[in-house]
Amino acid sequence: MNCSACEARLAAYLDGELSARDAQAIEAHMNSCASCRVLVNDLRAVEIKLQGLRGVEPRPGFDVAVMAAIAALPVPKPARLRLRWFVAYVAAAWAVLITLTVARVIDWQHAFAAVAIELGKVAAAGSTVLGVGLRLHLTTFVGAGIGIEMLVLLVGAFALRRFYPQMRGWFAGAPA
Amino acid sequence: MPDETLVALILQGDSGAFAPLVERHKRGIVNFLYGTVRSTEDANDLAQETFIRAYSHLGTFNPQLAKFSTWLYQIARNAARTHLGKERRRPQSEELFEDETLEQRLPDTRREASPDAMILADEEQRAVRAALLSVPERMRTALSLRYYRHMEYQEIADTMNVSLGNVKTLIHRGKAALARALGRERGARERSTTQEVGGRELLCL
Ligand SMILES: [Zn+2]
Repeated sequence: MNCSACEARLAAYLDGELSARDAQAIEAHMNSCASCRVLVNDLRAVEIKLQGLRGVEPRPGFDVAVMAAIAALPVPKPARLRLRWFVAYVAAAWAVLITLTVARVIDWQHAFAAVAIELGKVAAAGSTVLGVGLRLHLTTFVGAGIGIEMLVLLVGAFALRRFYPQMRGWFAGAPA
Repeated sequence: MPDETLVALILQGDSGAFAPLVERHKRGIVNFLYGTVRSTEDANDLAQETFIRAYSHLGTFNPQLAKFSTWLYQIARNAARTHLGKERRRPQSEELFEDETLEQRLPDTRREASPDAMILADEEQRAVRAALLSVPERMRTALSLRYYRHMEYQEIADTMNVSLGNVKTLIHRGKAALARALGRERGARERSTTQEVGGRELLCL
């Protein structure tokens, strides 16, 4: 056994958790190794010191002081109550939404239509990019294709950034 | 009455049911904290803070997740951490353990302490406590729960939210760190004594 193997098992050895055979191996190593012997003696001495530590008593009037402090505090309520408040909050939010809808303050049809138009624009732009990529595939080597596409797209996107406002019109057709 | 029943009573509005909880756990909490902070005063202050904090957050305690005592020691540990963080930012006070006055040298009433364990002399007691403060927080917490609070390894694991193997490692490494710190201190003391003797000899000449 070497020193690192000895040190790794030292805690278990000192706690008496090793088998008799393993414990003997540790003891044999310690007989031949002064530094591990010193370590074990130090750890045993520390154990004795720790067991000899003196505890303390809480100060007189400890309980009185605590009970006086908590008397000034609100009585704690179970957290479940907070969950109830959350449920109430959600219900109230829905009630407000429904009322606003019924009163035609919020027009869901127009709101959804606006979102759909924006999504359509994004899809159209994506398909154009894909088309450019596919065409480039035919004229370049398959292996280099993706890399070149990326590069071209990045360079192109950078070079043409000034024309973005106009390009929106080309991709999406007539402005909404 | 078990802790959890008392907690339920408090949550139903009977704040007086907190008194038996304080009575039951104050000694353990104060002793645990005493092992992690500088003085008896700090340990008592932090223990009171622990109970007050526990009371005001009692609604968030979930008996399905942990025992009340485990939860309480977690609060105490957090209080000690915050306290030591503040202390570190302030300049170190010189009066180390000077509050260990005669009144506090009460007979040792720890039930779990083995009867034949020798109580250390005051001087040595102070040296071990000073060395403990130099040990990293996780190790010190484990050592304090073990040697000031006399918890079993499994209880320490629950309180610190780590595995049993982790606790054993923390305690072992903590002891090794403590041995090194005590060795350093002894070395420093011996050096200062030899210097003193040397100085005296010089005066004689
Ligand atoms: Zn060795």
